[in-house]
Amino acid sequence: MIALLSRALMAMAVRCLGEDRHEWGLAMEAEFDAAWRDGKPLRFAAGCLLGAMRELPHHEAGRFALWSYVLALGMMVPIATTLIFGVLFDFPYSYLMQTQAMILPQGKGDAAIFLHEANLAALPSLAVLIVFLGVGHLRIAWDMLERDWVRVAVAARANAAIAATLLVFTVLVFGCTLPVLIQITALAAELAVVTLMARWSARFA
Amino acid sequence: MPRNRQPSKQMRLLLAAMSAQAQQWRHGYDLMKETGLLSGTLYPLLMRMTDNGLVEAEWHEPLQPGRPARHAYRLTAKGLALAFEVAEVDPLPGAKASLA
Repeated sequence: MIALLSRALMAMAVRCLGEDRHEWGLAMEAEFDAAWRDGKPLRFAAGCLLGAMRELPHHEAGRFALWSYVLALGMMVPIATTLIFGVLFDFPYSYLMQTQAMILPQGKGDAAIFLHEANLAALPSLAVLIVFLGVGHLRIAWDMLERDWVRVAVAARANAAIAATLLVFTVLVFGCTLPVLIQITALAAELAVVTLMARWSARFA
Repeated sequence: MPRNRQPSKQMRLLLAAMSAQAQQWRHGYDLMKETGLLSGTLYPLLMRMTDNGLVEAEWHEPLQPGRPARHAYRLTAKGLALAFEVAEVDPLPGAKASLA
């Protein structure tokens, strides 16, 4: 078990060092043999991984990897969670549920929004689209970490199509524009970020 | 832009250990054991020092067949000068410290 874990940590350390420091990775692996014979492979390997992670911000490939994780885990996953949970549990936000609350003629909410049986029937379909949008964000996060930028582009285009559909239906069916404008602005920012990351990744291709 | 700052305690330990046997090539694990530095501290330090021309590195064939070649390090003239300068200004109390 210790042997397996030690070797896994060493492999991760060598990967974290990247191409610029590949020779140092080989040097660490060679000394791992000495540490193994000395009976302290795990401690040595864990230290090497820590050292390699400290080197990440110092080379471009490492900075790219760090930014990929920040965007995938810090942006895409929270957006996906917000979208999916918002639809399923109306928490923390779902503009569809908000529009549903603004029903006339009870006199509640924004008079600019008018809901009736016809457009209320569209809510489930739009909810499904929002869930697909959330799943699409998870897909982008996964493919970003896999560094499969072709699939990222495919998922981003699908998300854009879903968002465009939501825009059209929400504006036409419900007549409310603010939530849609917020979502479109956020989507535009996401696409810009994904495009920048894809261009940056071309340096390491 | 290079920064002109004092060497850290860890670097001073390493400089002292390597300058004690300046002409001898040292392996990473041996330096770890002598200085008490952990691998996560030693290797980034060696990388920086090599980048700054203080340390030179080369591969050495193993003494025993079947073992991997090992990376060996020694101070350059610039590194040796820095080691003497640091030792004069602020000598370390001991050769080994439990620093991480």
